[in-house]
Amino acid sequence: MSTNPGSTNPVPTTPVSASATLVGAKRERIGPWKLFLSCSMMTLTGFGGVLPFAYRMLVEQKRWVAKEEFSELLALSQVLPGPPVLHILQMIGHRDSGWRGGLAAVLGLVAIPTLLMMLMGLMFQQFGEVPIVRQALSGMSAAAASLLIVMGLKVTAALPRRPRAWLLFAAAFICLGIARLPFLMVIAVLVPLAVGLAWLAARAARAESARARS
Amino acid sequence: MEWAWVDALLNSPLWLLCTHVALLSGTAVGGGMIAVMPDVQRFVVDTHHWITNEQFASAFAMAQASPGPNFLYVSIIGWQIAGWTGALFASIAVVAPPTLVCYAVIRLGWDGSRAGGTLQKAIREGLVPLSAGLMLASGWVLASAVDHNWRAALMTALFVLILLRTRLHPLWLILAGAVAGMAGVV
Repeated sequence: MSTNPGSTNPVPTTPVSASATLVGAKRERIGPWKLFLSCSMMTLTGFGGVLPFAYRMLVEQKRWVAKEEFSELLALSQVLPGPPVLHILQMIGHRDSGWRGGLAAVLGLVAIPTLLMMLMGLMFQQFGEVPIVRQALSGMSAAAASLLIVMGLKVTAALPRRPRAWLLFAAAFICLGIARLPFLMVIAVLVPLAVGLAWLAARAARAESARARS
Repeated sequence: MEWAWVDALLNSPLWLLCTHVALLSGTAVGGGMIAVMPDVQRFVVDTHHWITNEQFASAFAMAQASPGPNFLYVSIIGWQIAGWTGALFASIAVVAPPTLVCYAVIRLGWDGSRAGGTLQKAIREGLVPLSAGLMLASGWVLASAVDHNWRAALMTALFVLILLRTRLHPLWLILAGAVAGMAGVV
């Protein structure tokens, strides 16, 4: 949900100045309140996926983290359950001011948007049955479906060209999209399988390179 | 008798929705709440009949069209099912489990030094194909829920092409979809 289907790369790779990439440079403490406000401002500009906007704020505007650090946090957040952008903001907030900082960053991400969603719900209740609104919404839904499909296609196109990846991809798509099996059931089988296979392949590759060296 | 309210709470749509959403968001590896969308749809539309397919799709479209994280579509569904409290608790149910997991990861010290370890690499490598399949499944499920006629299906296909070929911001396409809908095209 954090990839922006409108751009080829979820995270813009604009060059940053050298000062932003100084890892371990002395930083001032940001504090929970400022974290909350900054994340709120950022999330309110985030249309169609917040992650690229988080990158822009954290790396390019505020320079709270270096580009490399952001990539590391992103890599880690991708193995955790839930939205990557939430984990990235929470980890940065936590580094700055402990659990209060982490919580402030997460609340900044979702608090005001939740109020907006309530407003959306209220408007839907008031006007959802008006024919013209219904028609507009059904057109918007068809457009939203295309955003999701594109998001999926972009990740799919970037898959490594090996049968294992494509079999797992097909299994996930068929189980969830066609057979409509429960998510938990599918995940409980496919995740250990996928991770196990990747682990075995990595081990085999290591053994292979060790043999080649000796 | 005095425990009747507990019974009522445990059987209320709000409780069922929130526990289901919390369970999903706490396990939603590789794609977050977008990947679990088909499951949420099945739960609220097919299993419990709380809302219709059309309401579900509208909630999703509205979340896409407003600023903030896309996963908050769950919050609009919460609103549709149980009003203000529904929206609030659905948001909490989406956010709390991953936040707690992340907190645990930080406390265990896995968030810095061990980044890039073999296991983490294996997890990431294993999850990428799954995440691609899950996201595409979500798109497929939403498209089959909203594209009732060939014109709507054609529009979805056309928008997919536009998004793949150009760098147009997705919001414009949502707007174009709204206009096409109002004009009675789809």
